[in-house]
Amino acid sequence: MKKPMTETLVLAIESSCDETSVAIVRGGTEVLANVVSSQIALHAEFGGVVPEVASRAHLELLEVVVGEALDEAGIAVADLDAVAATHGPGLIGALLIGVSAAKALALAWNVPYVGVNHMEGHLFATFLERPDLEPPLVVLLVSGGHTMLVELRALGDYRILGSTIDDAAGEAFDKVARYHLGLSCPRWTVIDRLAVEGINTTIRVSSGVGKRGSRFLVQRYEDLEKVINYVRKNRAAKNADLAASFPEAAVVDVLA
Amino acid sequence: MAERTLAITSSTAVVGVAIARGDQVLAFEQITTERRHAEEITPMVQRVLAEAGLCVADIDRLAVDVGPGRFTGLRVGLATIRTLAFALKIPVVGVSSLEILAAGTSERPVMAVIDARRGEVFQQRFDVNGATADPLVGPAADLAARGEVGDIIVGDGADRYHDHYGSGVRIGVEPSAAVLAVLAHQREAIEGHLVEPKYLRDADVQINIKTRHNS
Ligand SMILES: [Zn+2]
Repeated sequence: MKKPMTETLVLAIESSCDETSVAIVRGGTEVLANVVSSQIALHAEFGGVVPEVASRAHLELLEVVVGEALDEAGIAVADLDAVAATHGPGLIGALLIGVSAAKALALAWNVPYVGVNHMEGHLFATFLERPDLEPPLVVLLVSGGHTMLVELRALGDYRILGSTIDDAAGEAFDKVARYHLGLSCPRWTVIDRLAVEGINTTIRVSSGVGKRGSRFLVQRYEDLEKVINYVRKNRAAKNADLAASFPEAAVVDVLA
Repeated sequence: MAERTLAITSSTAVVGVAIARGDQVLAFEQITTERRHAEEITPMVQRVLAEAGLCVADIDRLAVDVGPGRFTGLRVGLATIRTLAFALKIPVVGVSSLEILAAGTSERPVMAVIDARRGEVFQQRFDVNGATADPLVGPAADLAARGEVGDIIVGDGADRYHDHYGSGVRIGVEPSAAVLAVLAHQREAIEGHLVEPKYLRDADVQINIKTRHNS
């Protein structure tokens, strides 16, 4: 007998970058388990995520993370209705570990496998915080690999309204940290830590108007980097101040 | 009744799935694919199970090609097998791709050679007593010279660099899942998560800022 949607139990695997993560969610909103194994320390010495290193680490931790999620959720495997995985975009070798594992679990447990678009996964994270939200919605998606404004017309019906035309916000964070602040990986978290000591008014960028036909979100991170370079050279700004200003400039000003 | 083994090979361009009962192969399928290892494996497992008239719960043990070979391919096979082992609570036999290759022929001595790209190969020599040394990785031109006159030479590395390997090359011999399924019958099976990939080569570590991704 088919369960109502509010009861559907899904085990989901995410391995698109440097985290091996398994969650078990009931009814699309109730998180029973969310186990995340981060590889940040592993990649730190290389100054960025190394795809081959990431893929090797995903494989090593696979069963451990799945097992922990099952323990944490305290559910019987027989109650699961589907197994899902992020199937892209992301680091292809890393993604394939999660996808292969999810397909194998689905086969062994005799439930459907569901491949989910990475950006769709980010969009639906919104509903974990706000289960009351209903489409139509406009969602601003700011992640390390992608920065876009998406119109969610109905579940499964999307339109990308615009995106940054060069880098994603996360990539911009990386570049600024690496080339302008001289920080090592993991840069995002280092920026945050450094930012606590700084003053958040060192850089401001006004939002630009469409270039290359992009409709709404049109600022280039390249330009932001130029501004940072200028500020550094001409005003001898402290790293801490730049770090404090950058997140707002990158996320609020560029995307506004 | 003899154990039923499900075997997967995926460390070369040939992806194979086989089921054997003891040393009798019940079903076997293989395809050649450059990049679609992950898409192909699960449907192949389902077809091979159907052909053998079994469901996945009927499988007693698993076998997997642990490489060396293509990193992504061998990981897809390992991820599939280890996860199946976890879910079905059954043990796994891991066998190196070079051993599977050598086991595909009864002729000895045999040199198993797998393409490692960039002009290099993974190589191991076997005589009637088994492997004569640990597997090697290095330039095909150098490793080919380690063979002896009269060696039979098999594997995609030998095909690709047949200019170096000369007249003993048997073209088109791949690690076979059918061979692996039978071979696994004679080996000790262990817990899935203890089955390690054999990369034989460190990860290329270059700064890859474009791929930084933070969810
Ligand atoms: Zn993400």
